[in-house]
Amino acid sequence: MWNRFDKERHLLNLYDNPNFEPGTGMMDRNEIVRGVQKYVENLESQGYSHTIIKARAVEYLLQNAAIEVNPIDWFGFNFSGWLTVKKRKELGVTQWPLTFLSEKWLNDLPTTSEFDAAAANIAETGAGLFWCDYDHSVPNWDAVIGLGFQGILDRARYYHNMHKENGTITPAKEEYYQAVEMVYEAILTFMQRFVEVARKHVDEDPKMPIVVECLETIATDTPKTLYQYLTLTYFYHLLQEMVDNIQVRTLGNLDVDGYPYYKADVEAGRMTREHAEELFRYFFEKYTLQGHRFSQPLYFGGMDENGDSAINELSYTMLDAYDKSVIVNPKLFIKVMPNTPDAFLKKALDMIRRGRNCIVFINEELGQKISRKLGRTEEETRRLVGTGCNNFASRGKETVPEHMYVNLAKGVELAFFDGVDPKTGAEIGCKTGDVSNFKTFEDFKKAYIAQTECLIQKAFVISDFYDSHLLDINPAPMYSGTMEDSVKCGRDAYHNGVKYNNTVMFLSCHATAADSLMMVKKYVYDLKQVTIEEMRDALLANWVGYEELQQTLWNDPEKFGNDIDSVDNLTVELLNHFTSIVTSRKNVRGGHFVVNGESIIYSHTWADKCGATPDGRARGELLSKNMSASIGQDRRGITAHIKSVTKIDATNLAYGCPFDYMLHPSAVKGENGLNAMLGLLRTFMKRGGYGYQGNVQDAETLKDAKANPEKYPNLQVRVSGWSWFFTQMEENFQDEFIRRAEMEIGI
Amino acid sequence: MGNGNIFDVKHFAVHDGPGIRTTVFFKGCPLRCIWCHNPESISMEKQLGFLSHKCVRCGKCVTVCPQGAHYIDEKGQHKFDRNKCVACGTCVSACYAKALTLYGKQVEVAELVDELLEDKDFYDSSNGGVTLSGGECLMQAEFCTELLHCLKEQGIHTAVDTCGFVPRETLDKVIPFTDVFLYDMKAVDEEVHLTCTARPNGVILENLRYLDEKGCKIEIRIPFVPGWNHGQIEKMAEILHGLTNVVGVRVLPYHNYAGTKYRSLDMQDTLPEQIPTDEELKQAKDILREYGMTVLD
Repeated sequence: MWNRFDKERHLLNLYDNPNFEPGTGMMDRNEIVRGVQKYVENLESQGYSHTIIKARAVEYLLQNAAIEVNPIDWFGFNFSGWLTVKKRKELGVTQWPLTFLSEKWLNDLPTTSEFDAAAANIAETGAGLFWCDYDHSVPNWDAVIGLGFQGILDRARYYHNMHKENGTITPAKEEYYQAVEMVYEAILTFMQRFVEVARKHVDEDPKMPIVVECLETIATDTPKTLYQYLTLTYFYHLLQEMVDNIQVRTLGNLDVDGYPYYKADVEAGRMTREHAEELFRYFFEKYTLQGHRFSQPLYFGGMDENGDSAINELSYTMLDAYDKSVIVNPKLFIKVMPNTPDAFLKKALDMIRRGRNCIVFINEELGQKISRKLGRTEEETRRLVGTGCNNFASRGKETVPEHMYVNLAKGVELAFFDGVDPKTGAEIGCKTGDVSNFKTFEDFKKAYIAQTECLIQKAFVISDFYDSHLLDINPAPMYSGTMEDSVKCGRDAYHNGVKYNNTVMFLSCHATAADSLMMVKKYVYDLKQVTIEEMRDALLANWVGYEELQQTLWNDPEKFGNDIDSVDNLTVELLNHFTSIVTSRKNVRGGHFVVNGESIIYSHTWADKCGATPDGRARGELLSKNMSASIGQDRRGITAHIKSVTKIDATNLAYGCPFDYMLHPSAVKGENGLNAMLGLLRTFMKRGGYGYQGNVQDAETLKDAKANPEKYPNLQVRVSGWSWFFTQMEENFQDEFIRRAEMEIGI
Repeated sequence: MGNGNIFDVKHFAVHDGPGIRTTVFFKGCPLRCIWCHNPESISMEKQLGFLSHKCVRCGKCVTVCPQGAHYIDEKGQHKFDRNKCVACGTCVSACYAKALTLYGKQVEVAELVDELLEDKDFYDSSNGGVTLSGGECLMQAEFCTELLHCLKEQGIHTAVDTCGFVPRETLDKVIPFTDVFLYDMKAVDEEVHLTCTARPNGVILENLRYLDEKGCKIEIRIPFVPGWNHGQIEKMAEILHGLTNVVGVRVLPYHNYAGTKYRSLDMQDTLPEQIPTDEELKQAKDILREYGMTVLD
């Protein structure tokens, strides 16, 4: 039964090589998608609401999909209709069978003139990005695990009846409950189908009796063993993500939630640590094979009710499993408290040092501070979930869409060109007048702030529009069913149905913005080495004919990331100003706007769209990434870099603001090196940093890997909130990491 | 109290003692090691370094140099007459391409302490501190003593990286303020030492024994250079075996990356070509372990 993973790993990709059980349903993806489309058309013509249509579509899929149980695999459960990322790319179709619904309902939605005006040219000019976001949802895993599918259904029926009896039922609530119940009834039948297929194959592998028992249990009840817990997690994830079409942005606190099952298994003699490790390798492999582009998150640690670290034996076991598999998916994040054991952190840091770097550390003490600031209760604060790439949310009580990114560096360009994007001629900012009118730095700064505020106001309009229509675009009965608040009040979790209904706005690329303002202050107004008009002309010319000025500005060390108070304080001032504007604004779902400070990969996306900036950057060069300095500007090393980043009040950037580091392998070799890595992490946390992620790489290896990819199939780099295999990245991304690594040796 | 003459302050130094450290590099060295990877540390004088690969031939330095030490030749190449240069640094400020660097600056104890305290949070969370290195920091004994004293008053862990070629009284001055000595051992046979460093090693070995007798914590550092001192390991191990306060030995594999720095200073590059193989390093470490030494990675 055990010690087979490595030998049989190549046989585990049932997704791309399905072997559906004959007679269980439609095997062909196109057939099932066409089927559901036709079914939906019929329902629409009968005037059903989107909520009911969505639930019926889910039901249709779960009834008609062919299913498979692969006896070789502990998690060999699959159904037709959805595709892995690899397959989707090959076939050029959408990944999920119901994407067409949300796409259609979004397209059908008439936009307002206000929305059209706000959204015009934002993406094209690199001023920001937006979409209607369903990608950052954390189901209430307490309900999934604690109630099981049957329990969730029973709970929905209970509240449904209560509203009926109390006379508080409304047509909208009635539809909501019908949808939730329909979906969970369909899931129960669906699970029963797996039980039947598994029974047919019970003699084909020594593990199959355990598999059958597991499916029987979770089809009707709550899990009793670690394996059953993981299987339920697997099924729920697949159903919400692939069928409900709502991304599951964390698989949960697997070490902490899984530990009681594991302990019981060990005590009953059902499992050893080695078995658990292998089981996790099978479990992780499923997410590797699904291939989510940004990786499927899960998180470690936290604290128990006594305030002690919740890291346990299973935490170490999971890290060992991950280490052995050399994967980037799922992605791990580790909640760090001052009492998180050094040994555990060092184990994770050593993995990063050896290139297993799909790990982020998040500061739980800070998370708790943020949680209290946002008004959450002490119990909610103690049990924060790690979600998305590297942030915190309230466990089971929060739905947080992230529709809108604002590029803080764009305002600099707009201040120089009176609100007009010089490349496209589009008017995306406001009128702040000709630069010649800016007699002092304060004048210039005022114009910059006005331009950026204009973009933020547009972002509010765009976000409000999406927020108002979340229920129209993609009702979420499966996800909502897990959320107690939602089931209690009979409202979709995306439609004010939960306790916390905040909306995230990203404020990105602060370092490029602050460096640029600093250089304008210094060279135009303080030293008077260049006039504001010359600066404008130089930017417009993308430095052609102004090379000396460009070099002077780029090489000036007074940049964010060097522990220099002047520019660091300017950064803090700008971020405090913009975050206060965003967070004091209510959204339309009864919540507030909250801020994330990441730029993720948009420092690339916007590079060509943003013209030259006064920090010496030319058009096409990267903007600053996440909380870090612009590439090449952190000249005083990682300690100064950390000090600058931690001057920013991360409680204002409550929904994420990771710091990305790059270290040279020679700097952190040996036991001394590992201790130093731990020292950096601990200092970062102690100083109130939020997320900590990065790479230990040398430029030579990266260059060689770019030239000879076949030699480096397993070379990983941390991209932003996820890692990827270096040799599979696009060239411009590869170059970013090479350049960053060269900095470490002073080239 | 006079000023100190340093050429660099390196933050996040990880291999110069325990934890995260900041290392101060002092200018001036009594030895002339053929493998020296910090040629800018040898002279006590300030020196101008010119990195030709960064030069954009703009001619700014030619315009600003009061001594006329810079010029652009008929082929458009930048040239530099080191004999005329007084290392005033005017050209360095003018060079926006950062092709010119001044090695060496005068610092006061107080300002240096301020900079070293910048990373106190990092020292605290990693049991790190400050290391004085060089060159040979103890050639500036008064300044170092004062600096170490101030650092100890601030509760900072201190390390002194020394070649040991210093007067006994210098050691006596710094011993009270030094938590660990990082002590270089380059050869035991005097002849070999002379060949490698152009100086005898009697004083060095005596000082090592003296520190040991005084109960000072010592970490031994052995630059391992094939073809030069590789045959000395066993003899070093014999000596170290007889000492009581050596907490560990670090074998530093020689590398030959420093060529650019020699060229930037117009110094003759004396760097040996051969770098040690992994096998050679392993053998050296194994010998040290056989003599009961703790070998640090």
